[in-house]
Amino acid sequence: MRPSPSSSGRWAQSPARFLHVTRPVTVPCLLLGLTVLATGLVWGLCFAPADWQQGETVRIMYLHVPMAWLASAGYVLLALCGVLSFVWRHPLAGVIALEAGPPGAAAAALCLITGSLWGKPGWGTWWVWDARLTSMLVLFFLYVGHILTIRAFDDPMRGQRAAALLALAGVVDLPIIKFSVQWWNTLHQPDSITLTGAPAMSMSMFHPLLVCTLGFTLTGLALLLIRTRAALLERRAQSLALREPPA
Amino acid sequence: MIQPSLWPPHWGFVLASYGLVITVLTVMVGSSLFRLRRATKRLALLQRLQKMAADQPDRQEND
Repeated sequence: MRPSPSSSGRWAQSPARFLHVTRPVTVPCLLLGLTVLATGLVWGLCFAPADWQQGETVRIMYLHVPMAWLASAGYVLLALCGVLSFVWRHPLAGVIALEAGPPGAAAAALCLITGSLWGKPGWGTWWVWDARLTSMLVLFFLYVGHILTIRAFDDPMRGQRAAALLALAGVVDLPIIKFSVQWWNTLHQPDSITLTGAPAMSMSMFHPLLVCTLGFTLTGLALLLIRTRAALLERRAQSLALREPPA
Repeated sequence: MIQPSLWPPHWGFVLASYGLVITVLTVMVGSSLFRLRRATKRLALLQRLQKMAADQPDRQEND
């Protein structure tokens, strides 16, 4: 017997209800996200101070850190969708997982590339097989695997279930990414921001970083809403096109 | 304008990062908005055709 989802989650089960609820939210969320993001990027690029040691290259942080956050948060979302579609066969979870994969993979790739561009002037090398860098590369490959698996089957339900298993198995990489700088001796610097302590950076750098992270998060959320809405509308149109015309 | 040879050191790495991220973001958001618009239009067209097809027999009966 399959457990039933909570009553608070029932509203989200209907694609029609999802389309109805997200319609007025999507464009304002995108506009707000882009505005906050533009503010953060201009602040980080033009007004935040340069680092006494790293110089101007510290400005790459305003892209690199939000990309790492988005890639990790996106994978948590994939895993949650995996649980929902695997246990409850939630009709929306599979669609969200299908649409969250490519932006998540892009965030992971951009995190690696901006990290590489930051590493060359700072460390003198584009890449090292460091625990943090390698675990992030594994996350990128997990995203690519998820994107390919969910589309690899003729039956979409089988694809969703296989991709959900991969997403759940891959969750083990997230604590490795987080704690790699503590568990191993790495070239990558330790975390500058923690939930419990004060940030190990000047507030004049921390504030634009927060604004950039918020901007990227809102824009990423809007992107996911747009993609999910488009996928649901495409499915609805396809089912309408396949329907027999009335006699 | 400052000569590129006089730009602050490593400024190219910073600009390359910003350019790449902004380009990828623009392409992803733009293509997704285009996809949403196309899906909305296609659904509206199909619904209109379905409605026209449903109305046709009634009109024939009235004739």
